[in-house]
Amino acid sequence: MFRPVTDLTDIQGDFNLKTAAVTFKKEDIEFIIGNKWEQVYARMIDNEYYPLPAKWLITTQKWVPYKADNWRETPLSTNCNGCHTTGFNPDTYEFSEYGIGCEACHGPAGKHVIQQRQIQPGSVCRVCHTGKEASADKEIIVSVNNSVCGQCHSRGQQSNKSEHMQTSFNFPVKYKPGNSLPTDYLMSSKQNDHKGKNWWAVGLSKNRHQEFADFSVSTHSKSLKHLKEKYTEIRGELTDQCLECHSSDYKFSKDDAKLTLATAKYGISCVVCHEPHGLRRQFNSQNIDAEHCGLCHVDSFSNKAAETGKAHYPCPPSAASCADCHMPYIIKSGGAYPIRSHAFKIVPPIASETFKMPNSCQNGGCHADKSLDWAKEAFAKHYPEYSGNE
Amino acid sequence: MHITLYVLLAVFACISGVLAFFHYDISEQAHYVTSEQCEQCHRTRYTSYSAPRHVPPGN
Repeated sequence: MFRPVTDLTDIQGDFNLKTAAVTFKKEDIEFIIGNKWEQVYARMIDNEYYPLPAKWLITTQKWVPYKADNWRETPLSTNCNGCHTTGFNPDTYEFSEYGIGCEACHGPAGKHVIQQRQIQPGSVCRVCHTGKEASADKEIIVSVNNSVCGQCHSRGQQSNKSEHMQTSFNFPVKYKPGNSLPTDYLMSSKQNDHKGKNWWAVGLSKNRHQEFADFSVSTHSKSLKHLKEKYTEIRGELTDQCLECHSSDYKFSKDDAKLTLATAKYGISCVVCHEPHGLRRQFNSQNIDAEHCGLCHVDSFSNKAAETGKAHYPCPPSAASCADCHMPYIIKSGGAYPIRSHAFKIVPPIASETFKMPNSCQNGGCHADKSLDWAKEAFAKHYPEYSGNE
Repeated sequence: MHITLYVLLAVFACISGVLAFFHYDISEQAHYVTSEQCEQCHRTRYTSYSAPRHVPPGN
């Protein structure tokens, strides 16, 4: 999150570690961005936020240069603030609060607050302003649309034309939560990543905060479309109950207003796995096991195994989770690969040889002590039918 | 007739002034408040949300 420095202990960078990149003192830092993977430090000059020339990599505990030669061309207002503040206005560069507040996902709440004050029980305003609940609720957006998260968990550019000039921003501008991302927001993809900075050659994300783009190519994101278009009767009758696994808006709709095959709009989305309000996730992301994925992937865990007599995977379930193979640690951040892919594709060891990238078997820590040749051989032995689509 | 019009205009100006004084937004344009405002009614959710890292405490 982006916030002013109010306490120097918020600054994680080690100023006792002498390095040429750090040309500033701890006391020069006015603002901090980030506190999990890395910290970028900033100052304000002429009413604009600018990065200081070194950032602290938390995961590897070291300093690296950051925009050292072009910090003046990297104002945070056009590069960062759309996602690190709430209510950012691309015309004035003003915002309503630091960090990602409630309204970043629920939309501006000004009218909701006013209306709720009017309808407080006993309020004198209630004499005239009755029946406002319904209209107030319409102001607050509650959407399972992936784009709500995708507005920031993606990389891209969008232009904004104001009275005086046209400016390019490194995030979607004037996005209204609940809608799809603006059509003129050009999202980073394998096709337009000419320098290979953000994407692996296999078409999976290499750089962080691209989860939305990664997820969009996964079959999870197409779960409702596939249900409607590819369903065959071999699985029995197609009913609304199928939506429990295939539609997130069905899953979260209230029992007395349950959606149907005709009205459900969204497939599996971010909120199926991530509880967006923080501490209590849908499940603990550090312990993603078969009990969670298996609620929908019944085939992988029981049906198919019963038919073929083969276990879904050879690794002991107590040691390897679904995510260890299907969401490998291949995303770069802070000088390492500590973030899981959200494309739900296995990366076989051979990919490390061909594309010089991390793979599912070795880079999650399971078989890091073995050679690449060992991993290739073991993978080929255990998965002779691997097709590349898993 | 004219006097009635003037009275109506005066009343309208007074109402507008009072609304402006209390920063009451009568326009249709949505505007932002802050998470602290939301917290006043949605405290449990806000506390859960703000604790990990998205929102600075007390912001």
